[in-house]
Amino acid sequence: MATAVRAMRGGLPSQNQWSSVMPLSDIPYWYTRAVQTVMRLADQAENWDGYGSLNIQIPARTRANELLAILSINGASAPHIAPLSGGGLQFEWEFAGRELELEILPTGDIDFLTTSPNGEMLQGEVPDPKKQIPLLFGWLITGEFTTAASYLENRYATSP
Amino acid sequence: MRDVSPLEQMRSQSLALPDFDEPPVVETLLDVAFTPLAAWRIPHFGLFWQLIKSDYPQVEDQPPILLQRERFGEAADKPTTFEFQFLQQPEARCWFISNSQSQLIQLQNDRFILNWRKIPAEERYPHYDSIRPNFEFEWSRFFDFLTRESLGIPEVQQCEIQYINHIELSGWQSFTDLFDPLTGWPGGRGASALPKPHDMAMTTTYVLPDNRGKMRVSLQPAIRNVDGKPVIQLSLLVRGKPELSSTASILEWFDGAREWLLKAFAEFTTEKMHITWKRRD
Repeated sequence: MATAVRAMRGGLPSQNQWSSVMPLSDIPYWYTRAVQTVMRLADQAENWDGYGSLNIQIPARTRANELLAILSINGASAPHIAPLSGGGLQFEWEFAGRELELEILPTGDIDFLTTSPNGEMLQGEVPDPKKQIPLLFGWLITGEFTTAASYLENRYATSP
Repeated sequence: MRDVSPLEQMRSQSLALPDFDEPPVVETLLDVAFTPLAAWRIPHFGLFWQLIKSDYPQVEDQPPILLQRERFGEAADKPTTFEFQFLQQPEARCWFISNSQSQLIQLQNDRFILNWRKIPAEERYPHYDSIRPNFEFEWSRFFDFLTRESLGIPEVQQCEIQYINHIELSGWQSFTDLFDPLTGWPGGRGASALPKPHDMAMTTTYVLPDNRGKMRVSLQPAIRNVDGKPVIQLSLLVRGKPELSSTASILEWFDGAREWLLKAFAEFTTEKMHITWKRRD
């Protein structure tokens, strides 16, 4: 049986809490505005685009708020937030010619799409945002997936 | 005249404690940390889940949490230092979530935690009178499982009870409307040269009599992740060690610790808010 060593220190915040909050002192400048944008979009009535679109579904709204918290913790920059016709939301970033889109489906599931400067695209699901968001953001900033590469290659299809 | 049983005595004491019909509590947790079970392996998570799956059908993997051991007496006065803890595998924690999404069992090879959280469809806080027997039932199921699988008997290291309250930004104008101690804070009174505090975060620690535990009362402005609402999170927790590792001793410790939490909540918050939360004692 292997043995692991972990550092431990007194005074760490309680980790057994289930309901999660973001302390105001840890919130980046864009967070409150982003939360308000999600709330505003979620409050739109059906047919908000004049083409019969659904309003933002509750699971999508809840997941969007969770995602904003994860993004904040990971030092992400402000996303561009847009509603989707089926009742979901989309978060978008662009950096150094690279684009990252996170599509929050009406069910609350998340899909991602990355587009490299040469047009290469990679898409797939984000089943565990806490694990995969840092990797996707790492790619946006550096252009490399580092430890994410093998995971993504095994799990997702690529298209030229 | 018949004798009053210990349970009835406990209930009568409980009735004398501060009580609210609509407290702002959003989560409670009862946490038992014990010496790591040497024979525990990953498959045991699955075996235990089979036992509780009909009540807790959803499962999630989580990284394990470390024990934040409270120190008392001289040990508590020493400066905080880094410690290294050697952990035997499996380094895993499992979440078992109930059908209603309001109850959670967190399990790892040295920890058993029962959380209750408020969900929108479930308006009323179930109160300790319901949470306590729930804990007793689930802990007994776990205890029986360990016995049946010859995994040993948990040797309790520390227990924790925590109440987490979310006070939304309505029905009050400033922190002094919410929290009694802040009326004496700079800016809390009319005579102060300072304006009313806009934001505030604080933690106060109390050592309970006979070193039965340490209580922490924390105040933290925050954004609630699930709905993005700004709230004041007021969390009250007590950590300590029961006299024995028996279920009765654990429950007795929780009962005593919970009394301190209720008293602290009532003393920290204002009468104005007690009316909002429908105090009934």
